[in-house]
Amino acid sequence: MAGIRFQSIRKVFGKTIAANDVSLEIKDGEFMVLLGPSGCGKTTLLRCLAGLEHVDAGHVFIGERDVTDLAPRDRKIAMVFQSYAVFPHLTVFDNIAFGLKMHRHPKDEIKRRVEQGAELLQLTDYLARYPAQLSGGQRQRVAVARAIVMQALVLLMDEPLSNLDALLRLQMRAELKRLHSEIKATTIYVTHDQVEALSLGDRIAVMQNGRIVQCDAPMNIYDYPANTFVGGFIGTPPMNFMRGTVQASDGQVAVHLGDFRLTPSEATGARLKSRPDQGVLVGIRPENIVVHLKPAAQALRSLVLVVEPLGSHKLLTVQAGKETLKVTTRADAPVEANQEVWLEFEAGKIRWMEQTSGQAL
Amino acid sequence: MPSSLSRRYILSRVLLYGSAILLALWTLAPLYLVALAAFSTKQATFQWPKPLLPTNFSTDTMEFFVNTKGVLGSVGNSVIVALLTIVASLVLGAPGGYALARFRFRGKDTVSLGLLISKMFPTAILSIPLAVAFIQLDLYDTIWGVALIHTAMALPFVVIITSGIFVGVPRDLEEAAQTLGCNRLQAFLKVVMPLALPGLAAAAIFTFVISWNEVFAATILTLRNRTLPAQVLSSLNDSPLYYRYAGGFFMIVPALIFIFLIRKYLLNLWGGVSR
Repeated sequence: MAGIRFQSIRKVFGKTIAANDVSLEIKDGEFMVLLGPSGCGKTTLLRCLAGLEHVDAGHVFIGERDVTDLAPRDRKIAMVFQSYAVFPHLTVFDNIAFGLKMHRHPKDEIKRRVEQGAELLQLTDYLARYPAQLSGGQRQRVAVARAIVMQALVLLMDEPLSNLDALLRLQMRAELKRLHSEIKATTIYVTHDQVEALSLGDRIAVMQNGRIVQCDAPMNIYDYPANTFVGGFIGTPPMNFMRGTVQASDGQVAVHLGDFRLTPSEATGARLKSRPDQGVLVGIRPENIVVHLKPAAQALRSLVLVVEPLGSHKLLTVQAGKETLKVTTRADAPVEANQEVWLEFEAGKIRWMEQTSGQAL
Repeated sequence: MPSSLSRRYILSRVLLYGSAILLALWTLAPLYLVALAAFSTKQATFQWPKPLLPTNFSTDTMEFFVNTKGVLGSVGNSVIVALLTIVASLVLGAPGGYALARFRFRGKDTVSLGLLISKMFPTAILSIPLAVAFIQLDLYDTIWGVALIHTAMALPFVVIITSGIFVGVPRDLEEAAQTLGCNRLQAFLKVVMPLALPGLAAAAIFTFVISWNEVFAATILTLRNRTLPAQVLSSLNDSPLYYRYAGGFFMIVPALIFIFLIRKYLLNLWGGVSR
């Protein structure tokens, strides 16, 4: 086991900067998720660590060793590919044993470790089969088994679940989490699926345009997005953002959302005070909006446009002034389309962002 | 309505199978007639109207052809030249195809196009300078020289075909092998090669057929060490009719066998590798 350190990594493909001066440190045994939309550079960063891409600048350390110029096979890594990359011409046993054979382990040890790995991933009955005779989920398991039997210093996973159907993905997600708690290998997991990121990661590094915009524990990322991009990317539906204007009078700070006056908490008020008459974005997650059916204090009058019953809850699309908001309510809330409702924002859950840069205040 | 629908269905079937049969006959009829003449008595070759069934079966003509001076030697030459061509064009062409399939490099499109353009040069124009060069290089009238020319002819095809095969082998597999302890060459040998093998075999057979059938360069560049087509061609004009039939048949059969073998790989040729 070992920690990982990316030091000012830069990687350019033609005119696209896939990694722009990225630095990141991953602790020994940590499960780090690289999260971001496609093309944000997360896979590139992983491939730079694996040695499948050569960095244009910067250094990669695994443990204390600078591996920047080493070939993939000398880095003591194991990788699970998005396509699984299971060798079609080899049986499950030979697939799992491939890396061990390449490293010239003794035969009986290979057999023992393959069987151990197969058991861990419930593949024992399939060892003699060829990949073509397996389902997608089983192939995926072969890919994971092939990686973990290497007992590498770090385990790299590149969107390993994205080719599975929804139900299987749910199952494998829990399985991967159990696996990590058992083998405790330092893991880097690349995904564009924020639910996977939240559920698996010890920490999440959110990437955009070749940079890490926020790196923190999942709940911190969810609750305290560093900017509008993170707030909008994480959470389904994403965080709502409303344009407001700061108004200060008689030492009182208020944020105007159209006709509505939102009074921030004292601490926030103090911060907003310094920017009178400037625009701010008021960020609030759909589940942190309380829907009142009658006028209430500090509640914003709005009109329900769409009601989507989703089983466990209802998702409302409402028009509040010029803004369209997503709001979740209880499944049995008596709300219908074209109905007027009053929205109250949970005070502690409002996130304030600068309007132009989108950065959290 | 249903009856007219089914009538249209039957009509379209009849048209489909009719065309298929017509196309098959287009190819098979000459083959059959050549075979028929090759295995008939010498006199039967000149009969008119020709019998469409083997009524005068005889192996005399074939025996006469096979025992003609130079024929067996030229068959041996042809086989050796073809094998040399296969080895040389695969050893040179497959890495080229791999490079075109895997790497992005400046001038890649130009190279691909250049390969095809090289096929547009008529051999007839090149033949005289080639003969001169070969005489100077002591390659004239050797099977090495012919194999060299055939390799040059087959190489563009081999590069294009193998690049199609290598594109079909997912890059991920190679990279997975690399993360599991292979260097590039090992990854190629242990993962890419086994998966590309059917396609490479097809390319090899294709090359064999090119070399086996090539007559022009072989005729110009050899005198005594002729390949079979060159031998047949050079003696065709002054040979009796039955000799031509026997020679034609002798030329066709190996090609047929190879095409039959290539058949099941052909679907693999331009697409992916079956997973």
